[in-house]
Amino acid sequence: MIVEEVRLRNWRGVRGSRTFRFDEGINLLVGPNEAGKSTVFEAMVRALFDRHTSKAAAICEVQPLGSSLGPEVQLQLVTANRRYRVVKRFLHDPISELWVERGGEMELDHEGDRADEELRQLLGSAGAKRGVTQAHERGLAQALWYLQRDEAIPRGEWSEALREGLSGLMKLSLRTPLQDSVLEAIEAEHAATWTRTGRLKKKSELAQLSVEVPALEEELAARREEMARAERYRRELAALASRAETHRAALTAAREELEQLDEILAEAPAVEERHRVCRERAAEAMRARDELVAVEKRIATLRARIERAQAERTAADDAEARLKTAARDHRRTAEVHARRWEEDLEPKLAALRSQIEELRSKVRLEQLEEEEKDLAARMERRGELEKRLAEAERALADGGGPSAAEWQGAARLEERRRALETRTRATAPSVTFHLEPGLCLSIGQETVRRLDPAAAPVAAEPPLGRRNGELPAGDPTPPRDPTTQRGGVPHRGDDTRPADEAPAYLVTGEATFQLKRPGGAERDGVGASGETTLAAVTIRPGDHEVAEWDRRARAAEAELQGILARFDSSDLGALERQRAERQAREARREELAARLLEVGEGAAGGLVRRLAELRGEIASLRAKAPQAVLPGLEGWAESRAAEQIAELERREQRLRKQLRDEREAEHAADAAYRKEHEQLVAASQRSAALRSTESALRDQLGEALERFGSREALAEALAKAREVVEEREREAVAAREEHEKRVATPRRRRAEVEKALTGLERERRALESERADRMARIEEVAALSLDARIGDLEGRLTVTRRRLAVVERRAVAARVLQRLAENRLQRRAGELVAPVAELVNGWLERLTGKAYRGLALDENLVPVDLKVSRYEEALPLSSLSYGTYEQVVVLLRLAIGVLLSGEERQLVVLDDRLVNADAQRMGRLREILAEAGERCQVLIATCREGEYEGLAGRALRLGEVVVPAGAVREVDG
Amino acid sequence: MRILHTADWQLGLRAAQAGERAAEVRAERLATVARIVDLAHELAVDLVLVAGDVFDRQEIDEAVLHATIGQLDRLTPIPVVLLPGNHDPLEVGGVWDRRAFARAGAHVLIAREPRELEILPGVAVYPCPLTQRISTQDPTAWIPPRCPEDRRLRIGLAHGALDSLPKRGNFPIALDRAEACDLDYLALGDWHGSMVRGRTAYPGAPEQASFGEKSPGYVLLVELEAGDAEAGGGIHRRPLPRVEQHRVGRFVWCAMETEIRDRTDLVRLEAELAELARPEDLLLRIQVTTPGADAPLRAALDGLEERLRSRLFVLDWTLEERGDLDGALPDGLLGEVDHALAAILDGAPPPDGLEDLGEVAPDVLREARARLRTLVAISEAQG
Repeated sequence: MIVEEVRLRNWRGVRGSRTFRFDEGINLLVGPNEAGKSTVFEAMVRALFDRHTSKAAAICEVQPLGSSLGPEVQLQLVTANRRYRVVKRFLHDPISELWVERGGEMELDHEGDRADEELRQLLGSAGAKRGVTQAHERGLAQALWYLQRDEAIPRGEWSEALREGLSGLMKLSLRTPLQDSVLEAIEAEHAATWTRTGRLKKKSELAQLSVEVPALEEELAARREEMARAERYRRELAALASRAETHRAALTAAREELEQLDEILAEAPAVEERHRVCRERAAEAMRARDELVAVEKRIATLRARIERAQAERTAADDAEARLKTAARDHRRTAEVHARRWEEDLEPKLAALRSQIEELRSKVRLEQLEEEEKDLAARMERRGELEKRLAEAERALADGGGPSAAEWQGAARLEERRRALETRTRATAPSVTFHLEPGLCLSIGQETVRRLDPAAAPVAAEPPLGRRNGELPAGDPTPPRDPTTQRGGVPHRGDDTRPADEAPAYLVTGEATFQLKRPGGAERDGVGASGETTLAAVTIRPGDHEVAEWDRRARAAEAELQGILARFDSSDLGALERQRAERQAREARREELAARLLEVGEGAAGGLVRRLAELRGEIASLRAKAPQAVLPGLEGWAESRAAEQIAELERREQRLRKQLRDEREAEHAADAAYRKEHEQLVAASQRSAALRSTESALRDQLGEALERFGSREALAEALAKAREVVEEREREAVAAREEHEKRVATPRRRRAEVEKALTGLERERRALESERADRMARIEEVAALSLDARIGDLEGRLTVTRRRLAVVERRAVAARVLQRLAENRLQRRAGELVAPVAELVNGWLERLTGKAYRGLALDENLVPVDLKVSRYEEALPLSSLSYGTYEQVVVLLRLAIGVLLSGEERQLVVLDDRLVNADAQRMGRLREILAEAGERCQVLIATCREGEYEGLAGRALRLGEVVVPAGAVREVDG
Repeated sequence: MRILHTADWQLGLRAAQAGERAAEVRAERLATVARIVDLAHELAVDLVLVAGDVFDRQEIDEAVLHATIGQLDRLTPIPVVLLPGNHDPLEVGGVWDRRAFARAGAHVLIAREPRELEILPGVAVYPCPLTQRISTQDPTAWIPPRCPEDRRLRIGLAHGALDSLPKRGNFPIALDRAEACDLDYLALGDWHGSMVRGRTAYPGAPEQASFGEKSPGYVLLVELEAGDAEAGGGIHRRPLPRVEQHRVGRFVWCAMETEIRDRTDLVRLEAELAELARPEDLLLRIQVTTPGADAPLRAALDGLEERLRSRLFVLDWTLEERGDLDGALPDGLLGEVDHALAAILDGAPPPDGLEDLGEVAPDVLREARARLRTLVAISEAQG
C-alpha cells in the first residue's frame, strides 16, 4: 500500500484545509518543531484504522481549539492494484466513506461502520478494542510505520502483533483472490466456534450444545431416578407378595389344623363326661375312706383327750386340797394379828396420848400466865413514858427559837444581801475625798454610801457554807450598818485618821458632793449656819442597775432585821444559837415518843386487847382441866415436863409402829387367805368342769364306736374303703389320661393355633396395608407423568446429541483447517526472516563500517542480538547506544518494507527517527534510504533538511504558511 | 361371529426417536386407539381381542392409563379382552394392579389367568397372559384340546413369537398350536408387522412405533363361522376365518440413505418421499450423500431440506459431502493445507507445533478435507 494524498480539514493547527501529495518513492516532510509533521502521520493513522464514530480523547484532541467543526481527513491510497479514497470526519456529524476507483472514476463503495470495517480488512488491521487504534492493532503498519511515541520493539505484544502482521502480510503478499476467499471462509467458520487462542466461544452452537446435552442428561437421569422409585416399589411389592404367599400357606395350614382339632374336639363332651364320672366316683370313694379315717382319728383323739382330762382332774383335786390348807393357815394368822392390835396396842396408845395432852395443857397455862404478867408491867411503863413525853412537848412549845425553815429563810436572805452588796461594790464608783483641814464634805443624796476603808472587801462569792443558809463558824460580825455613813453625814478635813484612811463613798445613783468650808465654830454640826460651799461634785454611776441592786440589798437587809427582831436576836449568830437549842428539845421529844412506841408495840389499845385474850385462854384451859395437875407432876418444872412429853411421844411413836405392823400383818394374811380362797374356788370349778368334760368325751367315744361296734370292726371297714379308693383312682387316672390326650392337649393346641392364626391374620393385614401403600406410591409416581417427561427428554436428547456430533465434527474440522492454514502462513513468515536479516545485515555493515554485523532475528522478526566484528561476539541490543539502536530498528523496518514491496510498493514511515546519527552515518543512511526508495514509498519527517541533502525525492515544507479555511493549497518542494 | 383382533398398542411409548415431537407421537397413539374403538362399532363386531402389550411398560403415566380406560369404556357393550404381554406382564405392582381398572366397565376383561373364558354363548376364549418379560416357554401350551362334544368356537389369545425356529424366540408359540388344539382362531400379538397364516394371525401394531418396522398400522376383522363337524380323528373341520385388514395408523416412520449426485437424483428422491405418506404423517430419517463440490446442487439440497423440514412431521436429515478427495487443489497455501491433511490421514506425523492433530479422528480430518474442497468450490463458483 502507498499513500498518494492526504488532505486535512479542521485538524489541530489546520483550521481550513490542507493537502499533501506524496511520490511513490522518497518523501521528505520538512519543518521546524510544532510545524505539524507528526500531525500528517496522525491523520493517516486515524483515517485508516480508527472508527469514525470514536470519541476517544486522542480524537477529541485533534479538533482545533475553539472550533465546533468535526476534524476531517481525506486520504488516497493504492493497494492490491486498486486506488481507494478514504474520507473520515470525526466528532461532529461523523462520516466514513470508502471510495474505489473503477474505470478511472471514484465510486463510493462503503459508508459508515461498514466502510471502517472494509478498510480494516483491506489493511489487515485488527481494529481498536477500545479508544483509538494502538500500534499493535495496525497490521502491517505496525512494522512499517515508525512514529513518534511508538516503541522500537513493543514490549509484550510485539511477538503476537508481528505474527499477526506477518500473517496478514503473507496474505497480502502471497494472496490470490481464491485463496483469500477460502482463507476468509475458513477464518469465518473457525471464528463461529473458536477464539483466536483456540478456546470454545460461549455463544457458539457447539458450546451451547455441549452445555445442553449434559444438562438434558442430568435432567433425564433425575427423572429416571424418580421413575426408578416406582420400579423399587414394584420390587418391594414382589417381596411383599412372596411374603404374603408364605403367610397364606401358613394361614391355610393353621386353618386346616384348626379344622382337624375341631374334629377331635367334637368328642370332647363324651370324654369329659367319662372323666367327670370317674373323678366323682374316685372322689366318692375317697370321701368314704376319709370318713372312716376321720372316725378312727376321732376315736384316737377322744381317747387321748379322756386320758388328758383324767390327769388334769387329778392334778386339780390335789391343788384344791393344798389351797384349802393354806387358806386356813392364813386366816388364823390374820385373826391373831387383829386381836393383838385391837385388844392390846390401841388401849395403850390412847392412855399415852391422854398423858401427853395433859402435860401440854399445863405447860401452856404456865406460859400464858407469864405473858400476862409481862404485859401488865409494860402497861405501867407506858404510862410513865407518856407523862414524860407530854412534858417534853410542853418544853418545846415554851422554849421558842426559830424553826428549821425560819432559820433557812434568814440564812438565804443574808446570802442574797451579800451577793447584791458585792455586785454593787464591784460596779458602783467609789469616791474618796482627801480634804484639807477645815474643809468638809456635804452629801445630800441617799445614793451615796460611805465605805469603811478598814472593812474587808466582800467576797464576790459567798463562802461555801452559806449556800446552805448557814453562817460559817467564826464568821465576823455582820457589816456595819451602812446607813450610818449615808448622805447627810459630813466628812471633815480635820479628821484625824490618816490620809490613806480617808473615807470612801460608794455612789449608787446620781449624787452631788458639796465641799464646804464651815464658817463658824460649828464644825461638828451638819448644816451649821455660816458655812461656805467651796465646790459641788456630781457623780453618776455608769450602770443603771446599780441603784436597783443597792435597793434590793437594802430590802433584804430590812427583811433580815425583821426576822432577827421577831426572835429577839441581835444578829444572825444569836439566831443560830436559838436554833440549836430548839433542835435539842425536839430531839428529846422524839426519843420519848420512840420509846413509847417500843413499849406500846403500836398503841395502848393493842396491849389491852392482848391482855384480855390471854386471860380468856387461861380461863379456858383452867376450865378444861380444873384438876390439871397430873399425878406425879406436882412440883414439876417446865424443862422436865418437856422431857416427859418427848419421852411420851417417843413411846407413842413406837406403839403406833407396832400397831401399824400388826395391822399390815393382818392385812397381808387376810389378802393371802382371800387369794387362796379364790384359787380354791377356781380349782373346784375346774375340777368340776374336767369331770364334766371327761364324762362328755366318754359319751362321744361311745357314740363314735356305736356304728362299728368295736375298734377292730372299724379297722376292717377302713381297709375295705382303702381298697375301693385305689380301684377308683386307677379308673380316674385312665380317664384323665384319655381326657388329656383327646381334650386338653387338642384344646391347648387349638388355642395356640388360634393365637398363631390371629397373628398371621394381623400380619396378612399388615402386608396388605403395605401392598396398598406401595401400590399407592407407584400410582403416585405414575401420576407425575414422568414417562412422558422422560420421553420428551429422550427425544430432545437424541436430536441434540445427533446435532452435537455433526456440529462438533464440523467445528473440529474448521479448527484443523484454520490451524493448518495459520501454520503454513507462519512458516512462510519464517521463510521471510532470512532475506530480511540478510538485507539488514548488509546495510548494518555498511552503516557502521563493518563494526557491527550479524543481526540475529527470531522467527517473528524480533531482533535478538548482533555481533561485534572486532571480537566476534554477540551483543544484546540493550548494550547498544541509543542512536545505533534507533538506526538498527529503522533498518529493520526499511528491510521489511523493501522485501514486502514485491508486486506493489509498501509505505514506510519514519517520523524524525534519525536525529542521533553522526554526519558519516547520516551520509550512509541517505544511500540506504535512496535504495529503499526505489522499492517502496518512504515518508520521512525531519526538522533538519540539510541532513537529507542529495536524497532524491519530494520535499514538503511546512511551517510558515497558514492556510485559510476552505482553501486548498499545495506546497511542493 | 365378528372379532376385531388387535395387539401391541404399546401405549405410553416414549417415542424418543421422534425427537422434540415425541409428545405428539404419544398422543397420536391414544388417538389411534380411539379410531380402533370407532372401527369396532362401525364394523359391529361381537368381540374385541387385544393380544398383549396394551402398554409399553409397567410405569406408564396415570394420565395415559385413564385415557386408555376412557377409550375402552367407549366400546360398551362390546366385550374386550386385554391380554398382558411381555411389555406389560402380570407382575406384582404392575400396570394391571392399578386401581384405575376398578373404574373400567364390566365389558372390559383382563385376562389374569390361563383359563377358559366363555365370554359369549358358544365362544370359548383361551387367554395366555404373560407373567414375565422373557421366557422360552410356550404360553399357549396350557390350551386344552377340544373335547369331542365341544361345538363351541375356540379362540386362542396369546402373545409371543410364532416358533418358526424352535426355542429361538421370546415366548415361542408352536406353529401348529391352532391345529393341535383345534382352535378356530389363534389371535396373536408381539410382531409389529401384520401376518395371517391359516387360523393364526398377527394384526401388527396399529401405530408404528419406530423406524424399521414393516407394515404396521392395521387391525384385523376376523369372521368365524361355526361350521359342521366332520368325523375324522376328532378334529372338527370348520371354515377358515375370513380376515380383513383395516388401517387405523397415522404415522409412517421411514429411515433411508440416498446419494444425490445431480438434480435428477433430487427429483427422484422427492417423488419417493411423496409416495411414502402424507408429509404431515411422515417421520423421516435420511442420510444424504453428495459430492459437495456442486454448488447449485448443494443449494438445491439445502432447499429440499428446508422444504421437508417445514412439511414433514419429523425430519432427521444428515448430509454427508463426499467430494473427490483425490483431486488436487490449486498450488499454494490451500494445496499445502490439503496435502498436510492427507499426510496425517496416511499416518504421517503432523507439522511441528500441531502434533495434537495426530489425535484427531480420521472422519474429522476427512471432513476438513471435504470442507476445504467445498469452500474452494464455492469460492470458485462465486468468481
